Amino acid sequence: MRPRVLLRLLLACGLAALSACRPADAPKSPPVGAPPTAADDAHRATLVADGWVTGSGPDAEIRDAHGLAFAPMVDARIVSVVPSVTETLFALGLGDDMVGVTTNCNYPPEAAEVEKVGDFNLNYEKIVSLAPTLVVGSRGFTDGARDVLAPNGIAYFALSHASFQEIVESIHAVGALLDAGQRAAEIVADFDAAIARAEARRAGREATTVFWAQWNDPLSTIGPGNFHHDLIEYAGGVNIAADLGAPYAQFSEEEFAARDADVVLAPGAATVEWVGTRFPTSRATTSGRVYAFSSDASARPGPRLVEALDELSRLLYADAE
Amino acid sequence: MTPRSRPLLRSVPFAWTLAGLAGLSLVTVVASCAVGAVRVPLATQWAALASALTGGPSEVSTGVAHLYLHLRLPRVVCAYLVGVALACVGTLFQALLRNPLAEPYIIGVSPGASLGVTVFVALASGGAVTAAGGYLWGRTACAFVGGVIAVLTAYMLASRGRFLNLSDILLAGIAIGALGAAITSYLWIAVLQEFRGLLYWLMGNFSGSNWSRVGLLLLLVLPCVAVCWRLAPTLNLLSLGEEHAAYLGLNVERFKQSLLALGTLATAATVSVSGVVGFVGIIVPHLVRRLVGANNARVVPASSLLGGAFLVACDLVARTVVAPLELPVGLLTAFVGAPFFLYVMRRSRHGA
Repeated sequence: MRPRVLLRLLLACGLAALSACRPADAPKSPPVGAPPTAADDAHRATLVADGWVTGSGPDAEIRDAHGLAFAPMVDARIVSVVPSVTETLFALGLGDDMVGVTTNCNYPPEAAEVEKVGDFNLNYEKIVSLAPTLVVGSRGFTDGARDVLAPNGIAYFALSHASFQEIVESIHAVGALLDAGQRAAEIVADFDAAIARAEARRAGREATTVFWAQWNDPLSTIGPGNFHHDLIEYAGGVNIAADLGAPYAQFSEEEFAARDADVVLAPGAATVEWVGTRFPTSRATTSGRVYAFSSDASARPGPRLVEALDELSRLLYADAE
Repeated sequence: MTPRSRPLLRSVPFAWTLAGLAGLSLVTVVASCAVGAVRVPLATQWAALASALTGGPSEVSTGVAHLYLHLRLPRVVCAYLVGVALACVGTLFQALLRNPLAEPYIIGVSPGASLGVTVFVALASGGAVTAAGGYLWGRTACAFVGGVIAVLTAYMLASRGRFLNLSDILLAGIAIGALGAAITSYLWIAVLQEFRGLLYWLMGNFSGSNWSRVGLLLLLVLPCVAVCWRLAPTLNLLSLGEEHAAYLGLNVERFKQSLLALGTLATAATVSVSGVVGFVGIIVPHLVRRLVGANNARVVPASSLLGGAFLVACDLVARTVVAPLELPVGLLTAFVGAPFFLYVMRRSRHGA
């Protein structure tokens, strides 16, 4: 019996140590759990995107989300394999260079006219047949494309979606890569403006605690490393699952009930009704602050996050206006 | 299945053993109800329960009362009933198929039931019904159909004329289970486009338990378990060989088929509320045989009680060990159960 008890103790200590050092390990993300007060200036400062681009003009060196180096491209024929990437490229004014998108790319409407190369599963033969010079995807989702397409001489550039900072870095980098730097800078400025508007709405008010009910059965939520976490924090809210230690994980229903967020965001499976019947005594339910928050704008890590940020900050601090 | 060592509790009257296991069950349930995001001591549990049952006033805050009465208690009770069902059905299948490795998960019943649920979700809703929300009875009916198809297919594939090949049914069950799991995965990923559903239906989970799920389990599992307890002595006849059992006046085929159907029904109910939780039906009966011997009249009731306590304990670990995150409980039972499966396999091979 004794060794087993010891083992359990060790395990418990290890886990405790792990969770204790988590916040210190992540200096890049906004301070988690802490009420956003003066720290918000720090938030804004981080959204200056230039970390992935060195030099300028034709001599610039651009790194993608994996840190791989690229030289600027001219007259690229581009295939996008992720909806948010498609939105980003169109927003950069590169719609005319697009030769392929996925069937899930439903925004902007012009994307419907571009050839389709698959959905979640990519049809690589179709991609090659379109003779693109560049395929743009999302780190961790479509990276398999790189090795498949390399023998055909097609470059693969990965954007990131892990945080607001990485999203604007991605936009800035792909803009520099494809000679759309001016437009990229404008989009980054849009992000900053939306963050400033959110700050103005929240100014001088107590922070609203938020729970993002990503999925209901089992109850699952998002944490640091997921751009929805940043969305909450930049909107001036405090994610009650900031100690999740994972971008996405199953979350204890009891913890949710015990921590009792002011606002619950229900983006899909966990509907407003579901939250109401499952947690009738929770603060968000009794005060009517469970919101369906399910637009593509908020679900996709692209330029429309600006709209989602405005929408969320209004939900959190509506009566300020 | 003859025990190679004498049962550990051979000198203890069986009634005491059973009472001990019932006591263990009660202690596990109460202790498990105390632990979680908020500690709920016995006195508070009692006060919350009393005020909920009598409608009287309570000193327990609404938040804690709701957490205990609607999140924790139904979850623990669900885990208990599912554990009872799986351990009981495991014992039943092992006796019916005369194979120590038979178990609802291994012989494909649970994966088949899980596929049934997934087909129901895909057809009924086009994805609008979420992983486990809503349509509890419809889901259970489909789980039953899926489980019956799985077990019938395995049964037919393993039959040579009137004879059933007892090792073939296990292999057929494993293959059918794998096929069922593959189709389930395909439906969730490609048709429902919701990989999160997989987490639930392939790995088992008690998050989201509520009183309607408890009600379903009480209505379906308890009668099945009661019948198993009642018929447990007859199961011993089968271990003499089916011919012997037939000489002694048992309609072997009908007996086997009705009990297989019964076990499948109980399993379907468990899958419908908690997804696929594997290996409980193999770990628990084998532990119990070490305690009380191979007499099914004892193994069936003792396994049922220990199964409930075992799964409650597993779920306690699943919901607390990485808090505030949770693990799927099926992951834990597989973690313990798969090595145990190999152990039983080697042991029965050496002995036979």
